[in-house]
Amino acid sequence: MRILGVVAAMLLAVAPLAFAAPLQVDVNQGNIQPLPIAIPDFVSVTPAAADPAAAAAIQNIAKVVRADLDRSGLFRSLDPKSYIEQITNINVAPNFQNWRVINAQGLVTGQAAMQPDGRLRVDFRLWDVYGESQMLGLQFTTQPATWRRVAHMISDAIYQRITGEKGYFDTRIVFISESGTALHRQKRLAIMDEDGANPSFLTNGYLVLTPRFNPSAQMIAYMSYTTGKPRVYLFDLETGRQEKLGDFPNMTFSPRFSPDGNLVAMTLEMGGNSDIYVMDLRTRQTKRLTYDPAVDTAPSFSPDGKQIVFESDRGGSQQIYVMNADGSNPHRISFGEGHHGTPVWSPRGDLIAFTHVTSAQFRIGVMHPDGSGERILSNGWQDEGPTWAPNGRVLMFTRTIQGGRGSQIWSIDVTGRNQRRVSTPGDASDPAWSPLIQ
Amino acid sequence: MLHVGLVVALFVSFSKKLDIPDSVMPMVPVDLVTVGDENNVKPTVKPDVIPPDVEEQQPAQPPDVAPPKIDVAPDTKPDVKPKPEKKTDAEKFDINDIEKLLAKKKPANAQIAARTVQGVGAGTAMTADLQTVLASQIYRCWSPPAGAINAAALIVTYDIYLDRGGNVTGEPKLLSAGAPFNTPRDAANQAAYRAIKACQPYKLPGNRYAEWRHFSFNFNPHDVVGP
Repeated sequence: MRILGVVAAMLLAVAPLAFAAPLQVDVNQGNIQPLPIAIPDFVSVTPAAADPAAAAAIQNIAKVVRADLDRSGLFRSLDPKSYIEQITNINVAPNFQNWRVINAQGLVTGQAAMQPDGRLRVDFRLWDVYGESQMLGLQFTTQPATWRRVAHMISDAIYQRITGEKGYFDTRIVFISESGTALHRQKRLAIMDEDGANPSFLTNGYLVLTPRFNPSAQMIAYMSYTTGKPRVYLFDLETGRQEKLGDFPNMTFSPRFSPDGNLVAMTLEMGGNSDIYVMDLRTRQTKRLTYDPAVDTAPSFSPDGKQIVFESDRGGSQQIYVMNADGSNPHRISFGEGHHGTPVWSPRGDLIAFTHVTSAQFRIGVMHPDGSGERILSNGWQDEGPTWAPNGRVLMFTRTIQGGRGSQIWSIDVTGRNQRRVSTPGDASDPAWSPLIQ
Repeated sequence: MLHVGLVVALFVSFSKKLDIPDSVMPMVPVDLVTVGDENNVKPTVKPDVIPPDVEEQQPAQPPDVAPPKIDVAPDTKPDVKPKPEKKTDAEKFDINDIEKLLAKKKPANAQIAARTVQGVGAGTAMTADLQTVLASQIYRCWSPPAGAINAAALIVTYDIYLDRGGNVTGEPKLLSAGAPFNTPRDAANQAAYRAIKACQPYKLPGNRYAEWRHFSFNFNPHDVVGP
């Protein structure tokens, strides 16, 4: 017993020698850089030259995927000229060393083939170059003419697998296309893919403002001067049908759908006072939510539909307030320097984007729903009217160029990085980002 | 299985949306090529005759790091270095006389034990330089998922073994929380994994291999991704 005790004492004495913890290295600094990824052109499995759309698809799918991922700022597609391995068969594992040599951390291989039924089949694989394993493999079959959507869906799948959050490439942007001189400005409702492709006009001639998508991305609410007075309208993208929302004696503006698409919150002007109302699209019943003599406008629902953020000057200056969806408990959340307006609740719920106004500048910022953590993101002369990507990581907004040189649409990451101009046909303003297309 | 599940889930989701996916591609059997030590630059340090485990237990005094200073009052006698224990003591080890032996060795053992604890992983002056060297090498390869929801809280820890050339041997072992595919936590884990692989070989002093052959990287993105 005594010997055992002594042995135990000795073991305790030498324990630090034998069981010393390994070195702990704290890494508190990093280098935010886009992920280098190689995306060779897709392999053509069968001759597709007979169908021009199929030929274009096979030739361009990889190009569109590269452009999508580059635009996100989270990926950097490597120049195809730098590849030292040619992908000829995506069903054979690549030689990963050949891709490590060019510093690729991800590799996308794909192929396209025309099916006997005239449809195009597209396969792709995402490879982890360091882990030497397949991360993702998907197959799509579609009409050759819709190959761009397939490319965007591939981009979304890659984005989600790498970042852990859904992508936003298979989406559309509705915006106000502007043309003409300053005195005779024509503003038309327009729509395009997220990458600027396939632009088209939805209205012609009348002044329109503040378009907003519904959750299915098939309907748009907007304000139009069609009848001379500003009114909120609904536009059905599938049928092209337009409908005035409600029959109110005075102007209605600033519409926004609820997350379930059943309600539209908007501002009604009555006797010189603007307040927020909500209309149930199923019953067309309207309910008043604010009763303050100040201007209450720009409502935006929280993603769970339980709260509404809006702007009001009830405190003496334009600031942001949050209330319950039934109008109860309105309280101010913006207290920083300057004015705050056009709030929009992030689809993931963690942030509210807004326009920050000082005497010299309009800029885009974000804050938490309780008003904390206010950050200014953009740095233009006049940036306003933010709209969220469906994944809540990117914002688009209108940038007016100083000196009357028109307006443009820009995008910025929620971290303030990757500020870039969005491709539009001519001047453009007031963008609204659709949900992922279903 | 998780991977296959994910692929199926994505496929089903897309099929519902567009009616375009037909089926999931079969997994390609992948021949994993292990990048062994032989593929890398030979370590400049000669293989030590002492196995690493033994070396860990008897760390030599690192030549390039000063030992912790001991404040000594000026009026006291200068320390007399204890004479090294004769190796023959070990040969004379007698289990029946263990108590006497322990009493005799106590001062020397205590001193060595204290230094050993400091020398391996305690983050003291003995290892701070190695920690700094490793952190300064990996930071340029680490791009945590900035912009992800709650990104600052996605702390990731990997346990790693290096060969003498500074290359990762085996697969880094995730010590922090794992996560399903397509989640920000999984993205954070992947980003840390890529950083570990991308930054090898690590340049470290060969004569201190025992100290850095096994260690953990604790990736804390708080100061990198912002609020």
